[in-house]
Parts: sequence; structure tokens; C-alpha cells
Amino acid sequence: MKNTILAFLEENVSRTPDKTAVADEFRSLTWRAYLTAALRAAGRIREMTGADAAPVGSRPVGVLIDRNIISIAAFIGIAYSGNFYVPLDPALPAGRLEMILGELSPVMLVDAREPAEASGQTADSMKASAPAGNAVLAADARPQAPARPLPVACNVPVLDMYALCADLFTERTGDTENPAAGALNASGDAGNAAGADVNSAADQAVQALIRDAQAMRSGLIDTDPLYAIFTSGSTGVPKGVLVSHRSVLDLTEAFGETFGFAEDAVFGNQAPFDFDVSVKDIYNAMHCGGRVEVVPHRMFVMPAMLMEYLASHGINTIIWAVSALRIVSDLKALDQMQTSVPVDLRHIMFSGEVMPVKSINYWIRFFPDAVYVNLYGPTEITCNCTYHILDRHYENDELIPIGKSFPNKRVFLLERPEEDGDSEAEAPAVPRIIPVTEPDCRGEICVEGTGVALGYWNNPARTAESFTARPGAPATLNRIYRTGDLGYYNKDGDLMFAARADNQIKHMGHRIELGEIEAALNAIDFIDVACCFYDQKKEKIICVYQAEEERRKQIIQALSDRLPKYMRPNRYLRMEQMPLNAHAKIDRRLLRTMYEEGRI
Amino acid sequence: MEENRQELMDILEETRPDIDFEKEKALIDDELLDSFDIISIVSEINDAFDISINVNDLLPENFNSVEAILTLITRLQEE
Repeated sequence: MKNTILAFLEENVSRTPDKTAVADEFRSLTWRAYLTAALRAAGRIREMTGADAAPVGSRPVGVLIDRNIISIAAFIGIAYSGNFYVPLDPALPAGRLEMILGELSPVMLVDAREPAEASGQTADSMKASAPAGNAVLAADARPQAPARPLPVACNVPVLDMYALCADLFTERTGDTENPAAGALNASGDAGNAAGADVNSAADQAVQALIRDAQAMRSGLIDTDPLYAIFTSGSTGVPKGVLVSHRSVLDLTEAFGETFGFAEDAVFGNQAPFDFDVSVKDIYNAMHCGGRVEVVPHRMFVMPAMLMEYLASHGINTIIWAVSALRIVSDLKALDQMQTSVPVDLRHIMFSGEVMPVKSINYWIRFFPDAVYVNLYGPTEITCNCTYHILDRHYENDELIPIGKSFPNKRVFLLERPEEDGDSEAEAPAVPRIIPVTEPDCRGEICVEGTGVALGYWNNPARTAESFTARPGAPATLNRIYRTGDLGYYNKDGDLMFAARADNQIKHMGHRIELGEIEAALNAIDFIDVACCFYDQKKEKIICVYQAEEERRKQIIQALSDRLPKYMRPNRYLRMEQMPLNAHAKIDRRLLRTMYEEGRI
Repeated sequence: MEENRQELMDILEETRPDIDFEKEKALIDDELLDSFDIISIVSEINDAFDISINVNDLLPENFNSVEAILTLITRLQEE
């Protein structure tokens, strides 16, 4: 029985070593080169963290990500090293990045950003200096590229992933690949034998590589963490959701079993790597032996060329954020679709927020034969816990169910006291589980099973609050995650999403705690108090603040160092005095009404 | 034209209060605007100016600056 998704990577290397495994606009890696890159990084990480002498347990390694396969190879390298990876977007405001690094205390960083042209260290120059022989060890003898400046100060060792593995990438020019650039394509020792001898040598090299990989991960157990992804935190500090190898392995087993992905699946990656939507691309491809194609960000900004990119790169499976599919439908980007070859989309899956039916109906008009799947679940339960395959036509005013749970997850509704912002009523000691036979009865969506995350990194208080025992069960058994989402069953027994139970919103595909924005606003010295809410219709974050005078520009300036741009409010409204309720708290409901009536 | 400009500035500044739209001349090329900004801006421009921006108009050169967007709006209003 496998205890990590890495076992599938090794199987792919054994079965199809020279098939492309991961690719971006500029380069690709075969399965063999992918594993070689990962092992090379793993060895170096162990050296740099002093873990080559004695086992020290799993520790966090930050990855400065880019939209490239250098990042993916870095993730897998860290996994093989016995540590867990934490994707970090270097474009985040410095203040926020520092806050995350402070929470994380990584033992080292892996720099996976695109190589800087100015550094003069091109792939060719790196390859020229690589000695022949054992490909895994070859990089160790090579000079390392000079370190590039980091976006924030961080006093830990930094590994330049591109410099370490430059010789392993197959460069792409236009839509074609240049196999000669992949030094390992035929064998680790190509050119000195012929015919059967070459094949035999190649087979032996592959088997040796797999043995190295298995030895490298021999100490790993399935409950070891694989990654942590930071999400918005209501108290003002982002929280790192820690996910195990077991959770990811079971996720891919469930997806494989439910949707039947095969070796010819080509996943078009849309989501940035610091969002867990991307986890599904990387590891489903690893599970089924398919391929990941990282789609350039600019295709989603100006989507006229997006379909051509999907067509020319053979992409047939997309697991995207709802907002990415909406870019195409809202801008009617399929109306004048002209591609060099037909787009062959088989699976179109979406998650992250409620999908407007008119948007998905637009896609169905152009791709009627694809399988459409609504996926649901927060990062804390490893991507998704329920799915619904669209099996009929939905009218524009209907809601698409979030459906039924995946085989390895149990999803249920816990009854809550009636939602009322001013209510001081206490919840019952043991909340009732709402049966499927009680349609339209609202409860909090809770999840149990191997997908439930290990908790929040370095945050036992928040972990204890959100990851609890199932009501009525002993505390040591059946840990559940309370999502904070409210749902109900429809008459077919399918789960429906209703609303959030708290101040979390989904905006532009991002999960945002309004409390985190408010904490940043309240930290500004000239603001007495601030309150944020979401205008769902206009899809805008509204900030109302109490201050002596209007200082919009200064607020924007102050937030730009602390919050990523998608978290910064769209409108700033000043009040001399905030309305208060009977408990002397800000009367959010009245505030919203005043906004809707144009009284602020 | 001046009226159009003010209306456009209102839309842009509400979408992205943190960008100095008078100064920036490479809104797309420098990745200042992302896909969600574009959706929001296009939809509001369509409503405000009663035009229909086509996917083939969604090119960096039409959105890199306030002047470029104004030129696009004027062209579509005249068509």
C-alpha cells in the first residue's frame, strides 16, 4: 500500500520515463528529468539544512514561486527531502511576506523564480559546466549562480532551483520542443552504445534513479506534512494550513476513481501555486501519469489567445477557479474562437465560489460534450470534499448543487442556532446532525475523513477551534473540520451551498476574511475604527471608517504594504460616528442598510 | 471627451484605488491590472458608455493607459 503520492511519480518514471510530465511556456521536464530534478534538490536541501547527518523531522521550506515548472520541481524536491513546502508569492507586499515568514520560520528558501536574464547564467552555460556521469549528483560539482536579491530580508540559506537543474529542462521554442536540450532524454549515458545496449543501459539508469528515490523517501510516513498554504486569517495574521501526504494521496485516489483520468489527460493549470486549486493539477497528473501544462497568466488577462493556447498545447482537462471560467464567459471570449486545431476539452471543473449558471451555460454552448463538475471544499480539507456532475440543463436562476461527498470524505450538516449577528444565544452542548431526509434545513457544513488537514501551522489555538471532535464522539477519534459554510440538502439529497456563517467572503476568486482587512485598517493611527462588508452585486469590498477627516489616499498607501491587492477595499466611505447596537458594537446591519440606501 | 474621461477615471479608480491611472502607461504590460480588474472595468465601461467591447478588442494596446481606453471607447461609440 502506498503511503505517498511520490510512489506514483516513480511508477511513471518506470513506465514512461521520456514522456513529458510537466511543462510551461518556456520549458518541459520528462518524468525521468522531473524525478532527477527533485532528487537533486532534495539532496542539496538536506545538506544545506544539516539533515544529511541525522534525521531531524519535517520542517518548513519556503518556495519563492513563479508560474513555471521550476516551482513544481522545487515542491517535489522538498517533499523528497523529508520537509514540507510553503509556496510564497514574491509579488506580495513586503509587509505581508514578512508577516508570513515570521509565522513560518522556514529552515531555508528555494528560489524558483524565472531566471534573471541579467545574471548571465543561461541554461546552456550551466550545462556546459556540468560533468558527465550520474545525473543526480552532477549538479553538486557545478558552480551555483549568484543569488538574486530576495523580495524581503530573510536570514536563511537560499537554493536557486533553476541554476541547480538547468541542464534537465527541455527548452520550448514556439509550440515545439527541442529534445536535444534535455540531457537525460535517452539515457544517463547516451552516445557510447547502440541498439539493445542503449535500451538496456537506459533501463538500468531508470531503475537506479527509482532506487535512489525510494531510498531518499524511506523515512517518510503518510501523516507527515507535504505542504502548507497560507490563507487569510480573521485576526489579521494569515494562517498556514498544513496538509499531509495521506490527504493528497487520498484526494488523487478519489478523483481518479470518480472521474477516470487516464495517462492522456493534460491538465491546463490556471491557479497560482499558493492556491490549493493548483494542488489538483500537480498531483492528479502525477496519479494518472498525465501532464501538467502551466498556462501563462497573461492568457487570463487578455483571453483572446487563451483557447489557442489550450488547443496548441493539447490541454483537455481544466480544474479552474470559478472566476477564471467567468473571465471567458463574461468577456464572451468563445464567440469568435479561431484555433489552429480544435480545442478538445473533456473535463471542465470549477470551485472556489458559486458558479453563475449563465456562465457555465455559455461554456456548454461551445463544449457540449465535456463533463462539467462543480467542486466544493476549503483548503483545510485538502481541496474538495464534495462534487456534482452537471447531469441536466440548469436554468439561469437555479443553483448548482455542491453535490455529494467524495469516497474518502464524510460530509454532514451540524445544526446551529438561528443566525443573528446580535444574538448572544449559546449553541446546544451537542449539536444535531441534520439528516439528508430533511431538505431545506440549514446547518454548518462539516467534514470528516483522511482529507482533513493536520491543522494550522504553529497555531494550536486556531487549530483547536476549527478542527474538533465529532459531536458525541471521543475527542481522540474522528476529527472533523467545521467549514463555517452554511448548507442544506435539496429534495434529491444533494448538498447545496447557502452562505457563510461569518465574515469570510469570496472576492475575485480569493478567500478573504473581512476581519483581516479590518485589522489592517484599525492599525492605521488616524482611523478610530473601521468596518468592511462586501457588495455582492457590484463585487466590491466596501470600507467604512470613522476618522476626523477624509484621508483616502493615506489609507490606500498604508494598506499597500500590508494587504495583497485583491484584499484592498474598492470604496472608502468616512463617517464621523459609526452606528452602534445595544451591545455597543458596530451595527453592521444598519451600516449596510445605510450604504444600500446611499446614506453614507 | 472630457466627460468620458472623468467617467472612465471614476470607474478605474473605484476598481483599483491603489493605481495612479494618470501616470501609468503600461497597465497591462507591467501586470498592474489583472484579469478580474479587466472583467470589472469592461463590464462597467460597456454599461456606462453603452458600447460592447469585443474579445478581439481586448488587447494590451487598448488597455495600457487611460488614453488608450478612451480611444477605444470613442471608436466603439462611433461605430
